[in-house]
Amino acid sequence: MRARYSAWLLIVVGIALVVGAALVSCTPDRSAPELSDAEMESADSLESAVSDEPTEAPPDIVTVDMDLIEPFTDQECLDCHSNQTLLIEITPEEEETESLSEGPG
Amino acid sequence: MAPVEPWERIFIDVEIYQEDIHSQINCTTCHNGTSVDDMEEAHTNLVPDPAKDPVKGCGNCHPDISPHAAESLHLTLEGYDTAVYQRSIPEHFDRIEYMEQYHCQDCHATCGDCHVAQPDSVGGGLLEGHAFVETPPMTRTCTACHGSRVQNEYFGKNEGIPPDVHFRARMACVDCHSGAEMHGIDMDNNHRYDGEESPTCQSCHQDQVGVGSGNPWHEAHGTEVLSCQVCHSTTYTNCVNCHVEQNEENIPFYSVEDHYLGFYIGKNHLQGLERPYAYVPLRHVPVDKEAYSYYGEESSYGENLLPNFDNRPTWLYATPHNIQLHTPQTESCEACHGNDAFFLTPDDIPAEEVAANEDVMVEVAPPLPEGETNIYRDDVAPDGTAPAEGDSGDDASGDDAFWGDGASEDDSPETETDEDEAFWGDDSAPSTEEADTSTEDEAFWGDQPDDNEAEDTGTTQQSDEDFWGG
Ligand code: HEC
Ligand code: HEC
Ligand code: HEC
Ligand code: HEC
Ligand code: HEC
Ligand code: HEC
Ligand code: HEC
Repeated sequence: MRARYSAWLLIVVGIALVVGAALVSCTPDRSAPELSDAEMESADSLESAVSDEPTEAPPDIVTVDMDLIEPFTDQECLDCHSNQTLLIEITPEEEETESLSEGPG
Repeated sequence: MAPVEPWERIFIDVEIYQEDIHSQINCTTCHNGTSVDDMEEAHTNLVPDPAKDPVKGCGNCHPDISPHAAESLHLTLEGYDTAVYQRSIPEHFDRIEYMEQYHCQDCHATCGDCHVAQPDSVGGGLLEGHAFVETPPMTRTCTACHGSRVQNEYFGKNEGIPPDVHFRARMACVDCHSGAEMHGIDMDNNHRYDGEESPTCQSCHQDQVGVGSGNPWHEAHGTEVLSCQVCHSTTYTNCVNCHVEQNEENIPFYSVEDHYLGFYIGKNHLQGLERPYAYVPLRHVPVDKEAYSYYGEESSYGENLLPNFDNRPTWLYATPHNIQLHTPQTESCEACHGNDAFFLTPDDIPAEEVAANEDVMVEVAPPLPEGETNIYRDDVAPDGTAPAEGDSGDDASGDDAFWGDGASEDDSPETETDEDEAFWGDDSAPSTEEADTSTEDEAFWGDQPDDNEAEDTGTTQQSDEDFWGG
């Protein structure tokens, strides 16, 4: 008899736990605090600091990290344009049309 | 300039280029096209000059330069528009723009024209095996475009006229014209002589000019009555007209039909806070009423495209690049004062252009103000051994006496600036273009690194491609 009673107790407690857990998981999460007005304002001012006019970078500063440049793969371009013998062979002779214009200006 | 073999123009020198940071970037990122072992396919959709659009081509990494350069006169050629539009009316602007598309493309100066390859007008050609050269080499970039006026003046190639003193002091264009100026940084000008004067002579010669300098010539005029060039520059090229045309194959070209040497002081039509001078040297620019009207049959650009021709002088503010310590007009105060030969007077102007130049010409040369005493320059004797005043002037041959038989300055100006007899020395400077360059000079002259021919330094391209000089 005693054993039966404790078995019931276990089942009830078990169900209560499961239901409780389910209920807890359904409650809306109120953990994120409402942002105060002051905080909203500072967020606004953060945004407005980014103007349409880019701030002028001091001269000589290159803003792109060269390591981010993709690795060089255009080997065919380079091979041809650095092959003197080949270039001599295939470069057409100059046409004389370069400048018809005459006289100083 | 060195005659460059066609193949050399497109030859990438790996030894040099691999040291350049840009060699890490794929060719196709800048030039488009495709990296394949077949020329035609590789070149499909090729962009020969990636800097035509400098913001797209270089702006990611050079944001401090590219947007400014995109608006600079070098890229927009707005200076020409300003000059042409002022003589025209809005109805014609699109015709003029259409004309310019044909005749002006080659002269836009892109980043690449100063830093990577010679300009198209001299046939292109990589400067240093595709390296991006920090300091543009003078003869292969600047004077390749600024040929007929600036180069000829600066190098002393106009017959009988010595090179500029600064050239003799071995200064290159960029010693005065900074990168910032070339990139159009802090400049919002729509014409060469719009906005702040930059560079200025005073920036280097401050102590030597104006009141307090102790130099009677400078004392008499301060720094605002005359531009420095009124006294320190001399005979320069003036162009008579320019016509755009097309040949039988519809290839557009222009021709400047006539030009002559002369020196003309006149009124400053740009007088204002930035350029206070009452008088400046004036240069006749290549324009006439019919400049853009068409001659041939099919492709007329339009009739009478410059109906407001008289709105802008044809004799314009000039800064000739042939500065000298001593010039014919400063032999004495009265070499200039009262001497019409050095001034732009109605006699110098063809009848159809008089109206356009009303504001700049003078009826007679201003006399020496009352109470002033005429003095002779220290090196000129007042007893007649000096060339007579009438000898000099806009008659170019008259200068010979002064400059001394086409002889000219050598490379060491210090030696004769105060010698009076051998006025410009005894050597042959107008041909000093071939300033025989030792290797260390090459950066100055802009020679190719592997170029051992000396005589090309001054460019052989005297005529054709020089349209836009100055
Ligand atoms: C950072 C951009 C950039 C990269 C990367 C680049 N180029 Fe260029 N290239 C230029 C510019 C700018 C010019 C000058 C164009 C001008 O002024 O006419 C030029 C000029 C050239 C010319 C000469 C064109 C002429 O007629 O004067 C050739 C050929 C050329 N590039 C090939 C290559 C090859 C091949 C590669 C890869 C190995 C490469 N380029 C990589 C920007 C680039
Ligand atoms: C991916 C980035 C990148 C691009 C795109 C790029 N550059 Fe550069 N450039 C650099 C870096 C990095 C330097 C080196 C700066 C330094 O050394 O101080 C440099 C230096 C230069 C220099 C100075 C040369 C020297 O030896 O210091 C010139 C001129 C130049 N670039 C022109 C150009 C032009 C013209 C273009 C467009 C056709 C261009 N660059 C595109 C990154 C780039
Ligand atoms: C591709 C041809 C070309 C090259 C190369 C070139 N220029 Fe120019 N330059 C021009 C043209 C065209 C104009 C006229 C622009 C205008 O007035 O609208 C000009 C204008 C100028 C001006 C007056 C306008 C301004 O921006 O101040 C100066 C000064 C000048 N160039 C100096 C130089 C120097 C110095 C170099 C060499 C570092 C050089 N140029 C290289 C074509 C060129
Ligand atoms: C008319 C000629 C000319 C043109 C066009 C030109 N530059 Fe320059 N550039 C110069 C001169 C002159 C310097 C200064 C060189 C020196 O001080 O030795 C310079 C310097 C530079 C430098 C190195 C120093 C610095 O200021 O950072 C870079 C990078 C550069 N230019 C990039 C460019 C780019 C990108 C373009 C196109 C958007 C361009 N240049 C167009 C003449 C020119
Ligand atoms: C970047 C600096 C610089 C600028 C700008 C400059 N000069 Fe000079 N100038 C020099 C130097 C350097 C010399 C040669 C050294 C010397 O003799 O003083 C020189 C020499 C001269 C001389 C000869 C002096 C003598 O005693 O033989 C005259 C005249 C002269 N300059 C006038 C001018 C005029 C006019 C301008 C403006 C168009 C000008 N300079 C702009 C630096 C400059
Ligand atoms: C009215 C004519 C005149 C004007 C204007 C003039 N100069 Fe001079 N300048 C001379 C004469 C003449 C000499 C030579 C004096 C001599 O050798 O006796 C001279 C000498 C010089 C010298 C050599 C150094 C010295 O002090 O003797 C320099 C540098 C110079 N001028 C620069 C300038 C500059 C820059 C300007 C413009 C601000 C200017 N000059 C305007 C007539 C003029
Ligand atoms: C190359 C020409 C030239 C030379 C040389 C020259 N002047 Fe002048 N001078 C002028 C011109 C132009 C004016 C302006 C006249 C006017 O406003 O009508 C002028 C104005 C003057 C003025 C009035 C200045 C003012 O503030 O308005 C005086 C004084 C003067 N000159 C004295 C001299 C003396 C003295 C000499 C010789 C030492 C001399 N000039 C040499 C061209 C010259």
